[in-house]
Amino acid sequence: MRLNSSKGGLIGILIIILVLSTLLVLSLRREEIGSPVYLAKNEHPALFQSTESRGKTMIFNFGVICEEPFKELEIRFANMFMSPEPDFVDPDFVPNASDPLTIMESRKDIQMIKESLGNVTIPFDSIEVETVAGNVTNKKTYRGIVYDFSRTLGLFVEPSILDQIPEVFAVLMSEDGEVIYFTGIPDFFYEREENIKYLSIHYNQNETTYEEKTDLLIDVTPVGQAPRIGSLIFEDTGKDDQVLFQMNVESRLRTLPETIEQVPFRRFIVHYIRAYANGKLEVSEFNMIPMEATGWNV
Amino acid sequence: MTGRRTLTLLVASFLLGISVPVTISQSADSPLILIYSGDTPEWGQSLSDLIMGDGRFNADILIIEDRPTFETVVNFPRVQATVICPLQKERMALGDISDLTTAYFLDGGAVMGIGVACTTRYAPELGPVIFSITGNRSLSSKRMENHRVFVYNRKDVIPEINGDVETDPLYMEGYLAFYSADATGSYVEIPCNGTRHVLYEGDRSAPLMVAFESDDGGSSIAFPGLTVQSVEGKDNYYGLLLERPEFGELFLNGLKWAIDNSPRYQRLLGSSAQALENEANRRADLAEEAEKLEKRIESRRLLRLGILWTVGLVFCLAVVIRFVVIRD
Repeated sequence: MRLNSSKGGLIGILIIILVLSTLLVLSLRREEIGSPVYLAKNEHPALFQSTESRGKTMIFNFGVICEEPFKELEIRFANMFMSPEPDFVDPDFVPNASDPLTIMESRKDIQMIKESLGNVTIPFDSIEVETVAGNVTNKKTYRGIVYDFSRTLGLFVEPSILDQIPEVFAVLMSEDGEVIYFTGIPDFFYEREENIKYLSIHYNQNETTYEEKTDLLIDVTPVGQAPRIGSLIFEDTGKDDQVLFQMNVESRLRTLPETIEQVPFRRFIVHYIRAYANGKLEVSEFNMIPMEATGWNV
Repeated sequence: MTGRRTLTLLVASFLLGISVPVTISQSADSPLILIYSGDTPEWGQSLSDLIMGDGRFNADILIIEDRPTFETVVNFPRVQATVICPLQKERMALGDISDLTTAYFLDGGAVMGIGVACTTRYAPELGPVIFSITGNRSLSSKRMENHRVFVYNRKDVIPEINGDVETDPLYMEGYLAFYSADATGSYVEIPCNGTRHVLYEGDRSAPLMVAFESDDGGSSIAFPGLTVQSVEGKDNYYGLLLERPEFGELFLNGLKWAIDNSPRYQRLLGSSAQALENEANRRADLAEEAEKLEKRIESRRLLRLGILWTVGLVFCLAVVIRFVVIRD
């Protein structure tokens, strides 16, 4: 058996193919593995408007598909509204010259909360976020950080109390140094029984719906009975299992936090959704929705 | 907790976003007393100094100026007692803090209220539910040391609270606050779900100091008559009240009594450690699962790449055998 010397070119090509395929396999081997939770849907209104004057229902949709089986899949919701600039531990602190994490850590209220928690070994959630405001031609990117104490507090505080406590905080900073602050609660929406008209949670073929409490309908599960603290937990999920969430919201000024009565804080609201698979953060959607400044009956 | 568990917990903490441990030790926490004094932190600081100067309280003290922070922390497990004493009526939104403060009290917490916090007009829920009163409107006053003081008489006696205060009548700075009165102008007691002790009262039974043990919650002390203010030179300037040794003793004894008769802190002290341990274990288990899943996905990918590579190799080999190797 001998080699055909006239096929030297072919051998060269084969060697190149061999080397390239080996390199390809090695580089694919190093490639980061994608999330096992597929974000199927994340829709929210383009503008948050008063129902009172516009007569509009705002629809929020969110859906994920499990690409692997999980022991636990958790979806957590938080709703935040703009808040005034907080007091800082150092009165001379200049937030615009800092970064979101330092700003958050310099806040007096955050330090008080941490101090009040004491020696708790269970950490609170601290998550970096990024969001864009505006449209394609005129957009502004904000980067920031969210502190969510609800998971830690949930160990000691009743859920019915927990979702009334302002315990989710965000500090965002734009590329041009503008700093905005958000404070919120861990729930599907602020004052759920006032603002949420319809809520539906699909897990594969199983659907659970909740509706606004009225005197007319008796066969309706009221929104108040939906899972507390905006946390949906599914155990032992299978591959390709789907979770879909839909919420219809109608808001009036009186059903929103009192800071919203001040026009400067009617710029954005935040609907923040996370999905954790086996305790690991896989999806983090920080939906900063522009809010209509006028049209609210004060 | 075993070393492996701790390590897994740290991994789990990291996996949950970039979670920040509040602290890394798990030593026993000292209790926390909250003082919600609103816009007048110096008033809160004065009360804090009183507490710190009394060896019976082994607690950290947090003076809170803003409503949202108070609402956030009042139901924390470390909170042993809360003193609600804002001097400004409307701005401190006492009505707004009601739900979370009431939840704390009904969970067995200790609450002390001074001034408007105990008055139904400004704090519709706090007065009746937590303090079992509607307010105070003592009209019997006299001038002493160039300012007006109100006159109160001793009624019920709780030795732990009255302590060495034998004074009768008792003079205290304050101002008018309102309550439900009958046709004769006398104070009308409201029904309460527990045991109420009026320790001092003014004319027409206007209560100055009320100790309340709730049947389904904690205990409270109310000083509805002490509606003081922060302006020096005024008759009801709080500095004048702080100079009264009787006030200091009743305040501290009352706070101690409320703490001793409120089960929440001790109850949570026991269950908190267990809750933390359970959560740590839960997170460790989930982290283990996450690690297993990651390994499974990684091995699957390796296997697929290996097969792909082998197929390529076999193909190249086949081409070589077919076209390059000459068989003799």
